[in-house]
Amino acid sequence: MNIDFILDVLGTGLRMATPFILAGLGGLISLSAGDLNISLEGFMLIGAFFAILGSYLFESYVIGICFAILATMLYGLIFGLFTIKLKADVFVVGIALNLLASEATVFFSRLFFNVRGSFSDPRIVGIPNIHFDILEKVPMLNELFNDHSAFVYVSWIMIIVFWFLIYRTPYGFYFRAAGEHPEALETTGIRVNKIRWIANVICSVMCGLAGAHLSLGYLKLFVEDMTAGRGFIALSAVIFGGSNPLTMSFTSLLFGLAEGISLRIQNMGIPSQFTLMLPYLTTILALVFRAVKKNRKVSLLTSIAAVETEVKGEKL
Amino acid sequence: MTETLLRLENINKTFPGGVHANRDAGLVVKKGEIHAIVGENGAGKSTLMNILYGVLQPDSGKIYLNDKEVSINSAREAKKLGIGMVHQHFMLVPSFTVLQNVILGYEPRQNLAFVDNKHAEKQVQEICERYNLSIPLDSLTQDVSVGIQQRVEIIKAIYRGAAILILDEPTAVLTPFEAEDLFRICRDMVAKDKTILFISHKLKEVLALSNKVTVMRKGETLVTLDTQETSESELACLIVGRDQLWTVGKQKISHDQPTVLETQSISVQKTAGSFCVRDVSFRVKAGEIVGIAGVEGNGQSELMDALAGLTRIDRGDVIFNGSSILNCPISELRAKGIRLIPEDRMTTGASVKASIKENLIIDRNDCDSFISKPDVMNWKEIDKHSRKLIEKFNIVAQGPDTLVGTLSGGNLQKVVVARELSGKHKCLLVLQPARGLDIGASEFIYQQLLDAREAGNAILLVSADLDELFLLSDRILVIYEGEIVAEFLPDDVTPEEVGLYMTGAKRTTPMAGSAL
Amino acid sequence: MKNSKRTINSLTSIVGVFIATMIFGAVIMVVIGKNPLQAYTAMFSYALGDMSAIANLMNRSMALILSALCYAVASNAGIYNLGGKGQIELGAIAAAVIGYKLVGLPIYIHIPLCILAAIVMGMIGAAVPGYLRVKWKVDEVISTIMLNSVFFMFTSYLANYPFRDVTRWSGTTPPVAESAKLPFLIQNIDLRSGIILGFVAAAVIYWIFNYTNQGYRWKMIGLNPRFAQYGGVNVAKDQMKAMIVSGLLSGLTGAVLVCGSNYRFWESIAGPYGWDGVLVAMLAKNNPVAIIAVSFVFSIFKNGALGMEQVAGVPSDLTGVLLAALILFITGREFVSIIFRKRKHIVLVDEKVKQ
Repeated sequence: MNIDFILDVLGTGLRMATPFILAGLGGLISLSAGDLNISLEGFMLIGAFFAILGSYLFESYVIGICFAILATMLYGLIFGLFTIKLKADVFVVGIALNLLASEATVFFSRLFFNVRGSFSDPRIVGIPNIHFDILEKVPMLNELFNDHSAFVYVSWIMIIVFWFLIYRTPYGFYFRAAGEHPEALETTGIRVNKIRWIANVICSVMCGLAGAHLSLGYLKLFVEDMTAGRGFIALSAVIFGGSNPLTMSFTSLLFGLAEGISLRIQNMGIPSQFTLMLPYLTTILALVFRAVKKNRKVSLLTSIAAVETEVKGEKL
Repeated sequence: MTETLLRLENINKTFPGGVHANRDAGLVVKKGEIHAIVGENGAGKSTLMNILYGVLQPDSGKIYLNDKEVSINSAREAKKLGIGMVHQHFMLVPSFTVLQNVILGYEPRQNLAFVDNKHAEKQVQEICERYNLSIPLDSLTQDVSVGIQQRVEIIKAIYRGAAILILDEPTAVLTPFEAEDLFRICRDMVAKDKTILFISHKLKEVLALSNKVTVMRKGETLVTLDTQETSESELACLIVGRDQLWTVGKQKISHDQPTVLETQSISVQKTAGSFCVRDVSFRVKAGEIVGIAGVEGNGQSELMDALAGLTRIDRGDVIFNGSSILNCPISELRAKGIRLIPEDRMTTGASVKASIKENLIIDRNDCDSFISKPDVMNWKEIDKHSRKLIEKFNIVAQGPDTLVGTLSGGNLQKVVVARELSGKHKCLLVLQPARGLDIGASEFIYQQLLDAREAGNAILLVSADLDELFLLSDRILVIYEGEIVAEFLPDDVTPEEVGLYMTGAKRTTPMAGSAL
Repeated sequence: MKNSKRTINSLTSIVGVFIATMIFGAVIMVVIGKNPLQAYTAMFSYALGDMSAIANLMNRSMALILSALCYAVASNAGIYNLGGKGQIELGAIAAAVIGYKLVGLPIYIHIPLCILAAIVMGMIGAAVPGYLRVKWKVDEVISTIMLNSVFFMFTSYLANYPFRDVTRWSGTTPPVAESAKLPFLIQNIDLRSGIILGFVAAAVIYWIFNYTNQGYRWKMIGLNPRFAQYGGVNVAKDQMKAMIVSGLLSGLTGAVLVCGSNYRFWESIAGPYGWDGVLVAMLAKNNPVAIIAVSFVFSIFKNGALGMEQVAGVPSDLTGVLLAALILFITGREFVSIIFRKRKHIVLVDEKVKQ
């Protein structure tokens, strides 16, 4: 276990955290505005597929990213239509959209590329890595922070942007008010539904970016169900982080690290299945840890979610 | 001569479902007035005010502001016209600071995107100084007392340019002391340049504060009187349409009744290290109603939840008929005859998506007549039992299969009471039994409690309504910040004095000769 | 009885939604240049054409019914077991291992043993997230989904290392003994006896839901857990029981997949059953009778997909898309039914006027 190995793992961890951070920021806004968006997974998958499609058709990663964002925004339209307009249960719609994304991407894969399983092609242009000349001077930082895919750096910028959005702009207050006390917001004349739609759009776009990173960032290919649970891991980071983008991002880094470690120790003689389990186990452990800390006093008084569902509407 | 500021004429509003909330209602308010609107629940006061505030639209009628006809289609428009409202249930986001809540939706901007906090603070400070009000701008709203929160709402309305302030049941959540403070604020505001409309059912306060009072009944505005020229009894008669309230004929309890429920220095933790109930000790005898007075949030809800088994008691002991029931599971407490009529009937006391019969048997999971071996539900028996209760408690519903969520507030409460009083019961824990109910339903519930008292039950009653407490209790305890700070016999004390103890202004050691 | 009325209501609205979905599918087909009429007739004739197709339909439905019951039992009690897929895999590998490791046992001992092993594994798989939820309030939605991956890896490990069949491609166990194979109901059309288990399980669950105190308590917990607790119900214990029964049903699904049709374990044996079960249960609103009906219709779509592709050239994956879209239409059906009721009212008023 030498320093190079550690730096390698950390660097991988930083990369792996990017989809969690991007999708997580979107989920964070969604959650603060009142909806726990369970379908981050599905949105990411849609983004991943359409990014590949766009890049393939136009041989440009920029178009790929645009395709991804347009597709996820359209998907967000469906989500919003059912949850905001028709007031359907966010949980049910979320599950449906996850399944739909999985089925639809396979269907489109067959339709457009005539393949099953995975699709790759030399025409596809991936998102480039960015090289910082300054970092070359500092060897350790260089290995850690240099030459990552562009979106890795974008995700860090986004953390700061979102922090300002939530804590320094009126919209940050509107989101939180919409989630915590929608009536208070409505009586100031700002439509709560409009705020929820805006949150929806932001979340969709962020998931689109996350998906694009997944398929175009390092790999340049699309695989069936390639999100592999990352949307749910991002969701855990959101839950863990509350409404604070910094805590959420830190948790994402932790999860990214778990994935990084899992990748790197695969060649060390442990059956790959156990190493691959690592990110998922870490997520569960994080949730347990958080729950244990929070629930010093264990009682069922706070089954608020179930009660709210009862009073507001039916859950399928 | 003061001009007419506001005039409402022939306002009609019918809700889907046929409720005719306002019938040809009218109102005339002069500038600088404090105008009270009184009436029972369902008389149409809130509807009329909501129409004035733009939240609802009238089916017909006109509104004139400064003799010009206006139509108010939204709250935002109402605010533009200078009408502001302080709702009974505050519209404040708990995790925001006070300043953030005041400026929500009307934030001054810096560089187009960011909130200009400094400017906002200056503007709000100006308002505070002008009307002689102070609020802690940087505190979190959830940490601030209810009285302060109300001031925040008032300043919020003024910040948005209100010239007319509508207060909906403003003293419902205040102690008498805080209410006095509110009255001072109102008089100061009116002296400066504001006009105040307030809805209340507390006639004493109406007489103390207002210049004019309009009585509403069944959707109509009956009459507008000069406050100075009327009396409490006259108003009460107009409101109810009959001679004064129902009085209670209570027999004195005999002093050698056994103690049924006793708490010994119980404490309940809220979070690690902080207690919401501290060292509470008292006794309740058979056939006695002990009332607990307190401002909401001083630990009375937590105390009752703990006694009912919903939360853990962390220190002390609870003795029931001689043996300890500390932290017994709820099923055991119920088997012993301890029942809870909870504060929120919609979320705890009943399951609104279940039927009446399903609601009535939730605690009968070991009842032989309802469950036969090997775990089979005897729905026929349950149906019979439900019909009996529906009749006995006069519950207006189609049948035992009616969903409880479709019932009115009064009938829903009757379902809760029917369930709690139909099994074996020796001790009742009751919270806010008549909140939101009209006179008919309230009287029914009170009678049930008195009957239970007659039958030898020990009853603990928590209420924010001092009138209710004085009406029903044999003894009144006052809770403040989780501690019992006083004990009185209702005949020996005035509500105002109780109010002083409720705010912690005074404390007392137990009275000589009391059961403590 | 009130329950049958509600069942009929939910069935009719489900039919309406299926029709809406088929129209949606027809639109997509036209867009990609295929003939919807041809596609749908091909689908139905392939799925229902002859006795052996119908038998195939029933075989497919059996796993779906069990898997849907698994989600329904838990969600009815307010706890959302999305870990069906992983629990099925646990059950399947247990059945497969017992199935091939033990020899010389008569069939009426071997099969129950396999089923028992599968059930136990399924129950453990559900009990873990159940315990985490009930004791520590860890959200079971995420923990069960995470465990799906964990259990997938775990069973994959078992099928690739200690219990591997080296004569086959990776991740497969050796075939089970003859005595561990569920007998055929009707041999020549390939109808297996697993379907009976499906029906029996649905009947049992229906009975529990509507006629026992446990079912009543579960329902009340699902509707309002605070109310149930206040009434003296031990919510933690009952929800745990619901999870365990739920796990039992997924374990059973795994056993049926191994002993009933595949006769060995392989990595993707659970296939779509875990998630399809969730979909079916949601569509059927946790009603066991509706679950049977919905499972059949589902299976018609899934089985017919191949026919649709062969005859009309529509990619078979379209049915998967339609079934997932179905749920969305379901959530919109409340909206639609309100509109429908309003129009009905107007019609009635008109008729009264005419009189």
